[in-house]
Amino acid sequence: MDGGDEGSSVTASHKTVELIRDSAAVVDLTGKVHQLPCCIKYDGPTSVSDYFKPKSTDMEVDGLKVEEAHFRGRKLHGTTIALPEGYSGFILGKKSPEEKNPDCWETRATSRNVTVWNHDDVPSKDDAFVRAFHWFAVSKTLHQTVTAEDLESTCID
Amino acid sequence: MAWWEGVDETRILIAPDPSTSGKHVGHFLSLRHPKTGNTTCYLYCDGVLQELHWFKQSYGSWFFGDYVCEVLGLPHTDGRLYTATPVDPVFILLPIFEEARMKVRQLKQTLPTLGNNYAARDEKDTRML
Repeated sequence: MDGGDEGSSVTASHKTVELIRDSAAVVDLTGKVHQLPCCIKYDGPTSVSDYFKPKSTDMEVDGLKVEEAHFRGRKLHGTTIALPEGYSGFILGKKSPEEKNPDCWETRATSRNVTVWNHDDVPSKDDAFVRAFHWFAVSKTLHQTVTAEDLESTCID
Repeated sequence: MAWWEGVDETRILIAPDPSTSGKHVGHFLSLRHPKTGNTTCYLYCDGVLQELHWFKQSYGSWFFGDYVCEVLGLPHTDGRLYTATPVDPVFILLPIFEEARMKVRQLKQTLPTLGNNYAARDEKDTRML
């Protein structure tokens, strides 16, 4: 009996995440995911799109197209970073602990890009947030399967 | 229905696209980090082991459409940018095999007949690989 209970509890207590794409049940927020350079002391729904209206500019820095917007009277400069090929941004939601399966995160919305905003500076390739995206290329190089051609091309003899 | 209905907490995770449309369940596994040996959270989805990283700045918040998410503030908020990227399982398994090999050597010296039992490891998450 103990064995049976343990088996099921291991499965039930397992933390999981449901990743979903191309589904009517999931909202596409591409172009509407913004990283703001300030703490907003609030967490929850609000009418962002009525007040936060990014505009594109003619400016380009380090190959990044600069956008501008205003938040609480301050001018922000931002740039939209496309996610690497084969990746998506998943906005996950966890239900209240009272509901069943509290350790499961569900995909509620997805995005193909992220817009990063600076207050004082225009965006640059040296911004920490922009550089954080270098990890995807590094990780790919580190972990992708090595083919026979790769070995041949790196062979020094 | 708005996407945040019934949701208590939100997170943002950049992860590989699932191979097909529809629901793909990823399992969070606790495995030993190959360098430190500490228990580290990995994600196993679509038959691919992925490592989790996060990035945050001192001050930040998210707009997810018509939703605000604070990066770190209220106890239940966590707006760090999480990423999941594929990791070669060899990195995870090598230290475990290495340790098992040393054990076998010791066992064979003391109890030659028990040498074959080393394979029974107690790490249930490792078995899923």
